[in-house]
Amino acid sequence: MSRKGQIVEIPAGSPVYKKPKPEFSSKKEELVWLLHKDDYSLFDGFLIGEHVGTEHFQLGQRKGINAGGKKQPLYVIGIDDSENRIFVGAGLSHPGLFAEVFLFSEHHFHWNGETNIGKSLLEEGISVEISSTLFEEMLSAMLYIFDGEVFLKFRNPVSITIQNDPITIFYQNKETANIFNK
Amino acid sequence: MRLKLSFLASIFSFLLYAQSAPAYYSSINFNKTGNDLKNDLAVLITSTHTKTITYSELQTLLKSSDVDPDNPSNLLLIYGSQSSGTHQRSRSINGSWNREHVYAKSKGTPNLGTSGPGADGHHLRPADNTLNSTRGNLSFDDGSGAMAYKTSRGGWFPGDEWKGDVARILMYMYVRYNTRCKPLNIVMNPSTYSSDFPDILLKWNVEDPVSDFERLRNNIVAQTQGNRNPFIDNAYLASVIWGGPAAQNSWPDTFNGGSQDDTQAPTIPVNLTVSGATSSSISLTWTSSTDNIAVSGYDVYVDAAYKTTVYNNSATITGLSPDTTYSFYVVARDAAGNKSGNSESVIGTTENSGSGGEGTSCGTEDFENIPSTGSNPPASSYTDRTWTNNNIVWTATNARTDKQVYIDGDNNKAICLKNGSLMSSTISGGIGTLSIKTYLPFNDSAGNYTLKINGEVKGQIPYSKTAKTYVIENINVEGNIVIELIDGTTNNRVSIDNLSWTCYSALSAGNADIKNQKITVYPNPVKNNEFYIKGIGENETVKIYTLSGQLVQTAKDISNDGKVVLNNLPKGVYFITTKTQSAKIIVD
Repeated sequence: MSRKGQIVEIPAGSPVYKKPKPEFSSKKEELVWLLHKDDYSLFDGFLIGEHVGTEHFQLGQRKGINAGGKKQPLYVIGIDDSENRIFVGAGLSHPGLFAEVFLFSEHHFHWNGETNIGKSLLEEGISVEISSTLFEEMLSAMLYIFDGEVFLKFRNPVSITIQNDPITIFYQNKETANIFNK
Repeated sequence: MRLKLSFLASIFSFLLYAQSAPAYYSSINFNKTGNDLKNDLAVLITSTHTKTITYSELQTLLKSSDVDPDNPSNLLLIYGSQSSGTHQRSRSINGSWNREHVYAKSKGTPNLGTSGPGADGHHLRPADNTLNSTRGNLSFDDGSGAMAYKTSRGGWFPGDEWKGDVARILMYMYVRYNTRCKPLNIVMNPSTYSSDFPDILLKWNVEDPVSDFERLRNNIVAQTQGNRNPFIDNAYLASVIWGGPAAQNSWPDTFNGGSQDDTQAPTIPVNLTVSGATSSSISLTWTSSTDNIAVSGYDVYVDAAYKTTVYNNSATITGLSPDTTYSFYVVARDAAGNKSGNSESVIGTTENSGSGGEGTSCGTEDFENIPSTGSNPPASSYTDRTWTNNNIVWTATNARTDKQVYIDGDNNKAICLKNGSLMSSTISGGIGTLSIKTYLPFNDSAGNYTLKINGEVKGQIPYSKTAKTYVIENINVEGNIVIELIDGTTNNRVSIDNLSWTCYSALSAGNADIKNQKITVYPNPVKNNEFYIKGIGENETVKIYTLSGQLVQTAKDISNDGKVVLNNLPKGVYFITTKTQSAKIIVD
């Protein structure tokens, strides 16, 4: 059932993008921090309008955000289903459209056949190549898996829309796994 | 005695931190929620509204209800955020302001006019005339920043300091005047928490908590009208009636829920930089802090002493001496009084007062050359003193020079005069502006020293128990001068230090034209712990500071293009300062 929800604009200069990086005691802690550093709340931005259900939106979407008068187009940069709230940012270079670390559930992560990569090696991270319909070239990333939580960490921030499409993971030049997030 | 004091203190804290609803609300059943509670409050604030004031009575009322707590001769202007201009925040009661209908008259159903709801003391606020008409009858819209502005969807954002005030005013108007003052007619969407109430107001009620100013004016208006704005007494009432994020609950003993006292301090302001300088002021900017609720202001410190408070991320510090280097840091605070740590310090230097016929710093006297006379006479007796510094012979009468009278620590000499005088020999170059630091080291009362140039009175130099630098401007005497400070009337013991003055020669720009070269450091990053510095005068002192403002090294007698050898400083970024400038260096 769809119900009316808030649309919150996060300014590009918002302090949420400038949080100082703390010291981490483990790699997982760092990945989780990088993942959540852009978690938005109502109080990080300002209310600009209403929507009729989060199910009509996906990350990076431009259409259907019914809030006019802006100098730059608005894009979805975050969806909070539990609060029925959508976060948007203005302009294609808005920092909320990019991220370094992505988390996927094991349910969306699929090995290609049998794998002999050890658990401890996966917790330390393996260097992989990523292919997606979103990019023409392969991208380098680190893959980490901790007890069913799959992290991809890119050297530089990449578009958050990478989560919307299937991802193919190459390890040692072999197609090793796929992520189907939908 | 101690018992009595703590007893008094406990009564006092009880009054300050009453945890339950006061007697005014005794008719309210706080087990009710939503519209049931709203209806009960409506009966209360309507039946106790015993005096309906007129529009002209309102004008009188605002002159007392909206007085700036920090300046009793000013009013706070709603939507204001700046120190001057259209967006001025605090302005003289006798200055230009008018009565702003926060619920725009024409949006009332019917129109509120200038009586009844249109003259209610809980509703109207003093405003700048221009800003009032810019707002017009725009609906309120969410936004960000200290300054009020028209939003991209054609609404009005009142500014961070005022959005909570606006929310609680409109809550009062809806409960008191019901469908005549529907909040949805005056605030933009969405309304997801309650179909008859805007989300934006519930958000603002949390982000900008009730200020002491609002509490004070609620009491003053209630004294006149009889009724109160319940949402100022407890912002959490709005959360109980209309839902949304929980506001601060000032009556936790009356009902559960709501956020308790805020104990989380804002983040430390970062990226503090000097954005401009004149001969008497320095402008600063920094990156705004964040807080779990909201940052309410920034305290600016000059040379580690509190100077002023501003409400957005920039400040202009005035009243500084020309050609002087100061260090600055800022501290963020929230409405609950929590303060962040100190920001990193920056160093800024005021310009020479170089306009017109005035010149650069022409001479200084730091009183370091006053000779020791041993015990004959002792430094602590008030007697005649004579010394020479920078080719000027200084004579003081009734002066003592022991450590007790020093202003800036035991190693920075000063002189203290008691019914005495200080006089220079003849100095060339004229005088434009004189700057001097004064202080009363003993239990004497504040007063003035008289400044004479060539025997003619040119100004009064105040002194008090607060050490302070005073600047006498527009002295403007050409040619040879004799500087004289004199107090022939009181026996006040006045310490004096850091005397400096600028040259003056009427309209002969050639004399006043000074080398205003920017300093450069090379190589930068600094290698092998040494660097060269270009763009300074002869025999300059170069000081090196850490980013937090700590002095780590002083290099004396450095000439233009001269070499500075660093003590083995750790790698990192440092500031260097010369007499008038500063630069950042990276030590590699």
